[in-house]
Amino acid sequence: MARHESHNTGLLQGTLNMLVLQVLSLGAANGYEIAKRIEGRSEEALAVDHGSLYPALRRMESSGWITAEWKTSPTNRSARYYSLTAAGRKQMAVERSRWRASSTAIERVMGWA
Amino acid sequence: MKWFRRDPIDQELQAHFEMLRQERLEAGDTPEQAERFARLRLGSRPAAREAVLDEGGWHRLESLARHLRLALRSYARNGGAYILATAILSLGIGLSVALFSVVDAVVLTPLPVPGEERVHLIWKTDPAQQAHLVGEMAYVELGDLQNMVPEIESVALFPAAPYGNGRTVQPDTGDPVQVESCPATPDFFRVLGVKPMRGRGFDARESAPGAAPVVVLSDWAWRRYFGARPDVLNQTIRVNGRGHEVIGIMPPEFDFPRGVGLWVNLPVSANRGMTWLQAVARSRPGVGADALRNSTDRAFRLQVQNHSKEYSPAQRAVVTPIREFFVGSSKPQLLLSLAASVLLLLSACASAANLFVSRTIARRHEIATRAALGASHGQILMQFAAEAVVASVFAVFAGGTLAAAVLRVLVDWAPPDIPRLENAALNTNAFAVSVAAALLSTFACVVGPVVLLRRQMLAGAAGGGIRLAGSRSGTRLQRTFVLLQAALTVTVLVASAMVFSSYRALLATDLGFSSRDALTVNLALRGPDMNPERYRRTYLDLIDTLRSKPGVTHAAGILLRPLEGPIGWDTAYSFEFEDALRDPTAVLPKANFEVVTPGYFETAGMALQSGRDFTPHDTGETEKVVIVSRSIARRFERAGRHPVGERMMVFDEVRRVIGTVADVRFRGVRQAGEDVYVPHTQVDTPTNYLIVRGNLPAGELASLVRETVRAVAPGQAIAAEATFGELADRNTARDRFHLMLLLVFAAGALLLAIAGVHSVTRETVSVRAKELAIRVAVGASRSRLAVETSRGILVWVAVGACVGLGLSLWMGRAAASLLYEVSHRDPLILAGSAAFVVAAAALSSFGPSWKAAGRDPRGQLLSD
Repeated sequence: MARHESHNTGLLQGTLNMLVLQVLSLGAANGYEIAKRIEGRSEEALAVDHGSLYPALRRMESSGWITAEWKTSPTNRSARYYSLTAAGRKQMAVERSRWRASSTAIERVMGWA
Repeated sequence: MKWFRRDPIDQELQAHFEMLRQERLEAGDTPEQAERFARLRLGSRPAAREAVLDEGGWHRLESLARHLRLALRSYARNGGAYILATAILSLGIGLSVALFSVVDAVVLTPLPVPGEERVHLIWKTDPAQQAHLVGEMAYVELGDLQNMVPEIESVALFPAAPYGNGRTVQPDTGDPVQVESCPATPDFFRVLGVKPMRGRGFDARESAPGAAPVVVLSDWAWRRYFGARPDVLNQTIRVNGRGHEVIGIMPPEFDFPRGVGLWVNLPVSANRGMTWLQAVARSRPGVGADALRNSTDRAFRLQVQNHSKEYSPAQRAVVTPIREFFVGSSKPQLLLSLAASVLLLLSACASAANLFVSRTIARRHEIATRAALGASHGQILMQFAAEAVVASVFAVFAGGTLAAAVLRVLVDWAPPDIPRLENAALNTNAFAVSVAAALLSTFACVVGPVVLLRRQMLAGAAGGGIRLAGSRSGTRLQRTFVLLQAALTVTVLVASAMVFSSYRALLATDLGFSSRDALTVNLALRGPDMNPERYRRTYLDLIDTLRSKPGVTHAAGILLRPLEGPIGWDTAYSFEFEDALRDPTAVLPKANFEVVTPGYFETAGMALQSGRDFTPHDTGETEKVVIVSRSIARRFERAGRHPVGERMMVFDEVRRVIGTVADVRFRGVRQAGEDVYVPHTQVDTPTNYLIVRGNLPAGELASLVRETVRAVAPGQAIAAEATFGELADRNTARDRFHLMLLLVFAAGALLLAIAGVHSVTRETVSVRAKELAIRVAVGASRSRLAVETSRGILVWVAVGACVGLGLSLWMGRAAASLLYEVSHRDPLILAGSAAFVVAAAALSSFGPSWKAAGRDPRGQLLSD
C-alpha cells in the first residue's frame, strides 16, 4: 500500500503533465530524455524521481494524449519513444491556460501581481 | 501471469537505468559511482512499477490477476467460513442446475416437429357431463374438421387412448411380438411435418376399404425386429397375421405418440357413434390457438345442429399445443420443483451471504486499514469481487458435480410417464445456467455486503477503532437472512413430511388383491380369422393348459388388468327396484366395467363375500349375470335389500346379481371406486390379460406362459408382463419421485439453515469476544452465557418458523390434491417440522456459544 505515496513527485499533478506535454511538443522522446529535458530547461530546479514519470506517462497514454513505440536511441539502445497526438496538443493548451489561471491567482494572493 | 499481455514497464525502466549509468560513465565516474547515481536518480523501481500497473487500460487485467491471487490468499486465511459458504452455494447451485436440466429436457426442448407452434391436438369436452369427461371423435368427423374449420391447413385423426392398439408383429427371427401401434388417417405425418427417414408416408388411396395394408415402422422397431435391414422397405411383413407392405421408416427422434413402434392406416368408418379418436391439426400460418379453438367450437356447434341425436348440445372444443400434450401433467410439477430449487438457491445465497457478511464485519479492520492506506472504494470492491469470482469457480465445479449426481438419481427414480426425462443431461444450457447462478449468487453474497456495509466500516475506521459489537445494519441483514431461511426450511420440511406420510398411506392402502405375486400379461389375440367365439375358446384352452402345469395354482383372464391408471371402461348402472321411481333425467352412477373368466377372483386374491363366482355354465344362452363390488352391494343394503338375486341394468342389459366381491383399487392406488364384473361368455368384449398365480418366481411363470401361448395359440404374442406388486409400484412411481425430490430438497434446506445459524453464532461470538471475556472474568456462568448468546438468533429462527408455517398452510391448500389421506393442516406435521427446525438451529448455535463461553478470558483480554 505504501506505493501510493511514492508517486508524489513534489510537483502538482497537472504540472507534470503540462511539462511532459511541453517537452514532447518539441519532438518524440524516451523517458530518460523527457526527464533530462525537464531538468535541463528548469536548470535542475525541478528535479524529479525519474521513475515517477512513468505512471504519468501511462495515464497520458491511456487518455490518448501521447502514443509510444519502440525505437533505437542515439546510443544504440532500444527505448520506448513517446510522441504527442492531436488530442495531446489540445490538452496542452488546456493545461497551459489552467496553469496560467492558477498561477495568476496565486500571484494575486501573494501580492506579486 | 503469462497469459496476460505484459506492460513493458520493466524494459523501459531498465533502459532508463542504463542511460543514466551511461551518462555518468561518459562524465568519467567509476562504474560503481555511475550505478549508484542511476539508482538514486531513478528512484524505487518496484514502486514505479506498481504505480504503473495500477493505471488503467490493459493493466487492469494484471491487477485482476493480482486480486485473484489475493483472493485465494484470503480464502486460505479466512478458511472455514469461506469454504463453508462456498459449499453452501454449491449445494444450492447443484440442486437448481439438476432441476433445470430436467425441466429443460422435458418441457423446454422443442419437439422434432417443424413449426411446432402451429400444431395442436383437438378433442371435445362436455361441461354438462360429470367431471367434464373428455369426449372423443369418430372417423367421419375428419371431414367435418376439414370442411368447417378454414383455419386448419391439414388434420389427421388417431386414437385418443394409447391402450389397446398393440399389433402382433412377426420379426425376422423368433416368436411374434406385440408392438404398440398407432392407426392414423393418411395426413398424420404431413400434419406433424415429419418425413420418413426411408421410404414414404401414407397415401390417401391406401386407407380405402379393401386396399392392400401398409405399415410405417419406427426406427427402434426397425432395428430391434428387422436388424436395421434397408431392404425391409417395400417388403411384406406379418402384422396381426396379415401381410403388410413396409412403406416407410421414421427417423429415430420421431416418437409420437410416445413409445409407438409402427403406424398403420386407420380403417374408414361412417359410424358417428364410434368415438375413440382425437385430432392433430396444423393451423394455417398466423392462426393462433384461440382462433383455432373458436373456429373449431363453431364447427362442433354446427355438428349439434346437423346431427342432434349423436352430439350433446354442450360439447366444446379443447385445443392443446402439441408440446403441452406431449409433456402432459408432469409440466406443472416439474416447474414447481424448479421453483423450489430456486428458492433453495436463494436460501443458499442467504446463508452464504450471512457468512460473508460475518466475515466482512470481522474484516472491517483490514478494510479500514486499506482505505487509510489510500485504496479507493473501487479497489476494495475489486478485491471482494475477485473473492466472489474465486467462490463462483469453486461453486460451479462443486455444484456441477452435485448436479450430475442428483440428476442421475432423478433419472433413475423417474416414473415412466414423464417423457424425455432420460434425455436430461448437464448440457451447455445447464452449464450456462450454473455459471450465471454462481456468478450472480456469489456477487450478491460477497460484494453486496461490502456495498451495504461500506459506510459503517469506513466510519468505524475514522472513529479510530473497531467497536465491540457487529454493526447494526450488518446484524439486521443477518437476522433477516436467518428468518427467511428458517421460513423456507420449515416450508420444505412440512411439504416433504406431508408427501412422506401420504406415500406411507399409499403403501399401507389395502388394494383388495391379496396376491402381490400374481403375474399379469397382455395377450390380445389377433388375426384375420379371429372371432369372439374362437377368442373365448382359445383363452379357456390357455387357462386350462396353464392350470395343469406344475407350479401354477390359478389362472384366469380379464379385460383390463388392475392398476393401469385412469383408463378403462365405465358403465352407467341402475337397479331394477328403483327404476319405477327414478327421475329419467337423473345422472346414473358409473362403475368400472370388467369382463372376466371364471376363477378370476380367486386368482387375484379377492374375497367373494356372498353368492357365487361365474362358472362355465354361465353362457350366452343362460340368464345374463353380474358380480358387483362391496360398495355397490352396500347401495342395495341401504335400500333394505340383499344384492344377490336382485336385477340391475349394466351396459344396456338387465343382469341378475349372483355374487358380491371385496372392493379393490382397480384403476389406481389412490382411486377407490365401484366395479361390476360380467362373464366373458356373455359379451363380445374380449379379455385382454392373462393372470397367473403359482409358487414359481415371476420370471419362470412368464416363460411358462410364453411356452403355453406358443403351443396353444401359435402366432400370438404376450407383452407387458408385470406382477400385481409391480403394477402397484408403478402406480405409485410418481409419488415416490415427488417424495424423493422433496427429501433431497428438505435435506438441502435443513443443511443450509443449520449452516446459516451456526455461522451467524460463530461470528457473533467472535465479534463479542471481548465482552464475553469480561463477563466470564467477572464470574458469569458458562451455561448462562451460552444460552444468552444463542437466544438472540434463536428468536429470529422461531419467528421464521412461524412465517414458514403460514407459508405451508397457504401453499398446502393449492397442493392438497397431491396429498393422500393426509390433511395439509395436519397439526403434528406442522408443529413437528417447526419444532425440529428450531431444535436443530438451537443445537447448531449452542455449540459455538458454549465453546466461546468456556474460553479462558485472560487470553482475550490481554490480546489488545
